[in-house]
Amino acid sequence: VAKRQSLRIDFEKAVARVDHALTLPVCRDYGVCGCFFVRNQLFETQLVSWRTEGRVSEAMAPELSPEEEPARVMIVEDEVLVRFPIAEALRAVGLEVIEASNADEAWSYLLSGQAVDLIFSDIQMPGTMDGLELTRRVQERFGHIIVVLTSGRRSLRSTDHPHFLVKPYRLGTVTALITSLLEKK
Amino acid sequence: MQRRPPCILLVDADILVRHPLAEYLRECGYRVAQAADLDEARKLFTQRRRRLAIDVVLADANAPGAENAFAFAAWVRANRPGVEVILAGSVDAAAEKAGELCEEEPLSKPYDHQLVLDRIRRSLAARDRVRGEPSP
Repeated sequence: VAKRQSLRIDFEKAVARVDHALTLPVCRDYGVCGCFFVRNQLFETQLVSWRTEGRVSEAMAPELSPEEEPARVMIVEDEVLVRFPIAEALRAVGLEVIEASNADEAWSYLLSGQAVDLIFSDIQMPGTMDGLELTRRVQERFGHIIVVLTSGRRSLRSTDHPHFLVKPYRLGTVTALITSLLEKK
Repeated sequence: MQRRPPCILLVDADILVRHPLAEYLRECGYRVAQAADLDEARKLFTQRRRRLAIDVVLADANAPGAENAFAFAAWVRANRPGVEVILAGSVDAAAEKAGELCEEEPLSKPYDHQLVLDRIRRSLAARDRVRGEPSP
């Protein structure tokens, strides 16, 4: 069962109070066993676990096609009041957004092996590296990740990076650029 | 009219802890704001433009910042009485102090996502009971 795949499951006796068919999101799976959260029409949530033996079978094939995993965008911005609105705007268009408060944090996240499709990074940030150094490292080690840079500093506007946005930017401009770059990918 | 989802402010310096928990809480129907330290958390409370209606703060007791997590929790309790504060940590002394500031003992880390969700639900339900509002 893939993450975010939907299943229809009939409950027999495991959850006596919810004895009708439900559509539910799978949150985790662990090989032959699994656990997930059930949300019924009253928005009551219960943790349910099952074993594959006879509990979930092909006969209960999913009626819904698996949802596509959203693209993962990492925002690297040390100003939370700038980071939060842009993160929310990108989530609103269906992207998964990782919020990093500086380039060091972003780099440690990438090194942990987490998948990222695009990085939207400020240039000037506190820490051991700035956005330009982060970009250099990303291009060297994770060449498949698109990097979009932003800065309000006049001196940094001449950066020859192919994807650059001048601050202050409009949220719509950022979401349009990022979604178009991801579509082309 | 649809009720807005409760907003959780998650404060944790570790992006590998903060991001998965934030995503989990979003999947559970909450709006989640993230802060990497207590200074960012304070900014989210005090910003004037696009003021964020925070319902619950979940903060690592060891989160960095100009003030410590207990001072921050005390500030929230004093200045935003409708906001529930949950501190998370593993140090005994921190636990004792957190017990004085919060309704319940601190959550232990590493996070058990289900326990976090249960605690947030309990906190919101307790707050709504005090206000006389039905829980969502």
